[in-house]
Amino acid sequence: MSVTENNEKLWNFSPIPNIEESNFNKVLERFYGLGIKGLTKENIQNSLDGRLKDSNLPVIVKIELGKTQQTNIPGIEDVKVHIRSLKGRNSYTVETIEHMLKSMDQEEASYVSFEDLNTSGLTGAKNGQSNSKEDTWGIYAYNKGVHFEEKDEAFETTRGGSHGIGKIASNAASDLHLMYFANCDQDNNQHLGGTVQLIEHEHEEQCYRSTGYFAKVEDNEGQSKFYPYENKYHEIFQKNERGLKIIIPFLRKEFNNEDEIIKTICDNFFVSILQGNLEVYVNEYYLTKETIHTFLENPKYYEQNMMDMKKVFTPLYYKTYLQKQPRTIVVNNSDEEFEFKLYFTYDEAIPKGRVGIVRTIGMKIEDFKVKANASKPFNAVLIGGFKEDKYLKSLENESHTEISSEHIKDAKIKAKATRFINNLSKEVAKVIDEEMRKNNPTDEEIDTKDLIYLMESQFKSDLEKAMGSVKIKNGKSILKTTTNTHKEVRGEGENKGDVREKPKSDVKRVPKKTQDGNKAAPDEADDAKETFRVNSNIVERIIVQNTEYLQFMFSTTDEMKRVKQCNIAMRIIDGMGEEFTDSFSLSNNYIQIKDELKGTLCKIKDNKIIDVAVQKGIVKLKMNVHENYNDALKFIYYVEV
Amino acid sequence: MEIRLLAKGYKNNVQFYEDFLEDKIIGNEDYFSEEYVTITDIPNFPFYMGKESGEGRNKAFLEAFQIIAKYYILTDRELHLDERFWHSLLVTKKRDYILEKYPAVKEGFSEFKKIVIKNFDWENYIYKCVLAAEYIEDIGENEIEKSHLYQLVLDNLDVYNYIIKYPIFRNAEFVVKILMIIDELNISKIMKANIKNRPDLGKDTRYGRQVIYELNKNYPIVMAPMMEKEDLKKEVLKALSYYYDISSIGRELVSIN
Repeated sequence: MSVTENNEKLWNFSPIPNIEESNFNKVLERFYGLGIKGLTKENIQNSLDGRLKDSNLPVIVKIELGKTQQTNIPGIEDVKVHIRSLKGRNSYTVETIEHMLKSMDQEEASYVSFEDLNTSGLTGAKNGQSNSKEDTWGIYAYNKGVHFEEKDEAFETTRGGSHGIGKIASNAASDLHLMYFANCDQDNNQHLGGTVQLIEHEHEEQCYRSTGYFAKVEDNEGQSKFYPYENKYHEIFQKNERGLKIIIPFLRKEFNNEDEIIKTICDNFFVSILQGNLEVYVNEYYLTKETIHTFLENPKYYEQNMMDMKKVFTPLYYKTYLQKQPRTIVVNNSDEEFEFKLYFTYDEAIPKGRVGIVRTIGMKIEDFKVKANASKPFNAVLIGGFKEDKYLKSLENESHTEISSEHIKDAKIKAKATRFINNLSKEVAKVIDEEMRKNNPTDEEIDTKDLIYLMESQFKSDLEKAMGSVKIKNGKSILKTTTNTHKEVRGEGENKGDVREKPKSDVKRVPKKTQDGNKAAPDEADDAKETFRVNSNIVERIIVQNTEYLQFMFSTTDEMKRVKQCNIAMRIIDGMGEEFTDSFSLSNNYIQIKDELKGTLCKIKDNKIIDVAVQKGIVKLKMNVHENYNDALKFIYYVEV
Repeated sequence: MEIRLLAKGYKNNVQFYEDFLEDKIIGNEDYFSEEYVTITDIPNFPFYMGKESGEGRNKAFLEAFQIIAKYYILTDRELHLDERFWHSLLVTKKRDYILEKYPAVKEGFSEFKKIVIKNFDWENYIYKCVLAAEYIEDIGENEIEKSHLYQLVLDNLDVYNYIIKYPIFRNAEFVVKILMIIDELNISKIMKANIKNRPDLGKDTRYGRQVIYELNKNYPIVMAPMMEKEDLKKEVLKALSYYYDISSIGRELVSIN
């Protein structure tokens, strides 16, 4: 006997004894936050997942944005009755319900629909709520948090979805949390289903669950069971060819954005489209293998100046994927090896380096940042095979927007995942380094980042030693020995805790930058200079009345043995160990500076003492200071040779 | 009184702010860690003086000094110098006080960050007050002297701020000595004044800051933080002399150079 016999309701909610949960489903908010991009991505991915096995035809997705009379929306009055009986119990639900009430009385409602072709559609609609794995209709229509699995494991692996929460994405796009889906199966059975996500509520003295179904309820041996309606509804709800069609009425205003839909398709599915596996129609626009470039080259959708491509990289990925021959890289997770194809472009004009990680299905997961290489001028696309796909899938977060290890619960698997992600960075970094070397031939093999860090940490520890001896009466040190270090000196990716070997040399090279930012090679040109920062333990400095004596002993350093003369710059260093670039003027503090080895007076140029003699690694200066010279200042010296 | 400590991640969380406005922080387990601290009394005190000036500001500071000295600095230093403790206290126990006293927090997340969950460093008003209260309660001989010292902090806030910015100077004796030197030499006005005709020093450079900067540069060759007051006075005057003609400051001090 049908429970709904008397009042013929098209929409039904399961009755419950009392209300326990007063919140809207949290997933709604997450998808609402992901906007039209999230919705588009989710639906196209579902369509690709539903592609027909053994078919070479591309999956076609038709997206339509439009308006329709409310009277065309099946059973809408039933939904409204339930919405009117909702009672919010916190400010968020109150606000959401108010918004629903406000939105539902417009005569015309906006809608979006996603229809797929060359896909399998759902099966077993006639069996209704069967709880059978074979009946995908039942799983899709009446079961949250589950996605149907293909029996064929290889096929299942390549599918995009896996968390089973995407189904609710469509509800989040509707002001009323309302969505319909029309199905046409292999045998041309056409059905219409739908869900609405409300909160638990009481209506005519009966409490109901939060989810309502566009389905009839039938009593089946004491248990109620949902069955779908045969599809005889308005045209926009019709689905006449095999496949699935999602219809979302009362589309949120901020979701009604054709340009964003087109961009989302290009950003995430350019590989599917280029491989000929996907075609998408958005109203009158066609995105296919042949036409996708017109969108990527259109400034309406994409920044065309490469220098300004700092956030969206799709036009770069597109070119890299099409124009480059892939190389193979192997990434290890300490257990297994994974092989990927890497399409790689090196170009000085690229402002941010990213790797587009793409699943074999053709969907991009992430603009991957390679550790410490995010600002290198490259662009890459990474695609694996069957095994790699399976692994990547396990690393995706729920929204398929990132690979990460954070959501993994098992500690061992998590550790492996972290290892994998780190190794992926490492392997791509190797390619980047190799390409950069090829493009910037240089004699020097110096990693300046490390050097600067070494100097900094050496100096810091020297200073800490000096400070550590300071005590006050009660024996407590009143000095904090944590000296602030200049942030700008620390290279990208360097951590404070990094332990490095102490340098053996008593001078440290600071490669001088030339105009184009490359390191100057000292052997190439005579006038190219190198700057060294002098370690304080080879400096002797004595001040006697108005005379300051300064001596450097470079004798232990090979680099300095050959040098005949140098320029010297001085920078003040404060009690916190910070260096000040321009706060000390040589000419304001010294009356004259005499080079004791040459016996002549030194010239000062650009606040540097120039052409100072070096003999057997030794420099000797005698400096007469002005009357108001502050003899308590400390310096760090730079030598330019 | 038990105060549950917030879990990390609240600082840049706009949702946290919105939930604060809607009184939805308490009861939401997501925002809290497993840690809590117990403190006997937690009376209200002004903790944001960014919008006050003149008398109003002095009054607010004095009130804060007194209440913090009396109730809060009795806890372990680790606690009352812990940012999370203060943020947790304000957010969970002082919501009504905040909304009434600092309605600007309703204007937006950035105001909320500025007023309530401000980083706990030398720019934070609670931090300034906690240090002042600690120092002065430690050193002050009696109530009269203490209140004189608090007044000196207020009269020389700019220099005080600049001192506590540097860890090497962050100690009670040094802070109090400097304040007393400024008082004895009667140079509070000079220390606050802008240095003119010295574009090389940057905008808005004041004599007081420059003096502290000189002491910083000379450290550890000149151990300013450990000096006796009379020796430190000479160093202060010497540093000031680089920027200011000190011949007009107290005749008895002319012999310094």
